[in-house]
Amino acid sequence: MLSRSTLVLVCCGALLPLSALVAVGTGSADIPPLDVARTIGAHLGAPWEALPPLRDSIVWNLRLPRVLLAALVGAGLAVCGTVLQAVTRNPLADPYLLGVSAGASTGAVLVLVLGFGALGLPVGAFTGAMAAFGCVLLLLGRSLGSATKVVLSGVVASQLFSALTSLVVVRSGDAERTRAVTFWLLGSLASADWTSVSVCTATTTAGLLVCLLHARHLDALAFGRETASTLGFSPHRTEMLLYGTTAVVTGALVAASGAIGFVGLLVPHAARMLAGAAHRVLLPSSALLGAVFLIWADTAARSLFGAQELPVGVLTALLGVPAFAALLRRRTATP
Amino acid sequence: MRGPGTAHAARSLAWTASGRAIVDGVTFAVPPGRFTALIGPNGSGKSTVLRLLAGLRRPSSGHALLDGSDVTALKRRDVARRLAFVAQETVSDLDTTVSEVVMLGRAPHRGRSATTEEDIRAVGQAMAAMGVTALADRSWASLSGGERQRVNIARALAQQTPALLLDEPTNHLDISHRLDLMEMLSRTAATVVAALHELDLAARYCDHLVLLHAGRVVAAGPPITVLTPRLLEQVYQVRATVNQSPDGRPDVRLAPLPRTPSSRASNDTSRS
Repeated sequence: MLSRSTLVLVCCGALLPLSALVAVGTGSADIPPLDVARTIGAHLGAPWEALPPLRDSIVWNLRLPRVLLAALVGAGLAVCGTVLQAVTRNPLADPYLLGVSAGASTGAVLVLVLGFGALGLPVGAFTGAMAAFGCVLLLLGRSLGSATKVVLSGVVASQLFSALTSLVVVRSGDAERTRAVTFWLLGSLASADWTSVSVCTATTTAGLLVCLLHARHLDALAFGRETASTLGFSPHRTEMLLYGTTAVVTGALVAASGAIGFVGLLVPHAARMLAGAAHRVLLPSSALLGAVFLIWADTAARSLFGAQELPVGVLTALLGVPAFAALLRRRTATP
Repeated sequence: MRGPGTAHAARSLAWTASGRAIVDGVTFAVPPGRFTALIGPNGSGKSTVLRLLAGLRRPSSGHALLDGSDVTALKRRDVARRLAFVAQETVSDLDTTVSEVVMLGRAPHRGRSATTEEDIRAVGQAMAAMGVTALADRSWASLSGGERQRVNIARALAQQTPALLLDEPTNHLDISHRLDLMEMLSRTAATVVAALHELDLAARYCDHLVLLHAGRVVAAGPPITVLTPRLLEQVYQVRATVNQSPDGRPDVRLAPLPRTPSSRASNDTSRS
């Protein structure tokens, strides 16, 4: 049992750097993985010769931040999805359950329409995400323990903020901005830079750490609050902390990349099939798998149709829907 | 492997849900190391009293005592080392394996440390005791109701606590497993408190009974003093014939009451 989950971790762990190297090399100008490794090494202080300035800049300033952001967003969303599925005991829970994506779009749209420039967008999106999460908490009051109420409050808050977004978009009546908003809502990693990479590294790492420290609590909570309680855990405290953590992490990721769908819903299920349901192994497996998945989805999104880039959210949904249908079929097939 | 059983007691326990008293001034003591059953018809408050004793609910008034101290004032982890609780239905659709579920029972003993040999031994013993060893690698979602119930009890046994609290533990079990479980519960050195439906099982295996009706204690004591025709008719509205078997335990046979207006009337007066 232990050896199998270790194997999954080792495989995913090896797959991640390899995927990253190949993905950085892929694009309109193809660069062999070894050259990619060499120029990255040179930047990190290794005594290797960097690529010529133009190619070096493509690797270091354009593609590497983008691939790293894809990995971070994939990992973070997968971890948040895993945690929320366990806490709400709902296999359909995803990171946007708590209204975070709807709130982020409202914030982003407000910034775009009011015109605060590029730096303001992530800040606006994050503020909106936290406003929506606050709204969910207000709706919930003390009844944090009812998974049904959590889901319903999330739906209500999402509806409210989606309506606000539509209202702002319609009122602004600017075709160019509306297009930009629509593109942002679908999720894209095109705006990746070293700032967004650093912010997402900090939040995702911290979030993963908090969740890992509560791995046993999650195992017990997945089995119901009462069971968790009689096993010596305090469900209310844990739920509060984990809802807060996932909301902040998701908020930061959505602020950097828009609302990329299906990663946080599907990857946890895939990871559970591979690594089992014990969260101490499941959480890192889920993170690695989410990172690898989004790296490849984004590489496909930016290279499949030549210069015309697809929003990565479109691609994850196109891949995600059939995969999810297969998953549902499998679930109902087992008695 | 277990210490001497814990002592539990209810002192004027009350619990109210949306203005309705579910448990209303309940006082009784659970003898340490013995098998006590909470009996009574549906809605009599058995499950709620059990949850109050386990500290899963905060009483509206009164106290649930665990070895003399209020259970809600103790740390959850300390409680988890002293009592294990088995709920009636554990809803979970997650693809957890049976051995992972039973391993959950070790949580109060190990904190964040890795699995020890003692954990593995306790899990193995608990699974063997409930006859679920062969299911170890099966997914929880694929188990039948009876299998889930046995795995859940194994989880509580792996907790190795001096007290076991079980809500309708015989639910979903077929007859042989039902009898095996009752045998095991009556033999263990731990204090056992179970909410039970079957009066015949309670009569045969339990040392102490608490009969509840509409949130109040109607009678408490050894089976022979609680399972009387008068009390059973008053609480369950059935005609009971009780014979004392050679081992001193009551042998209860139940039949419906004849449907006459006078029997309803006498019931109403006896309740007030």
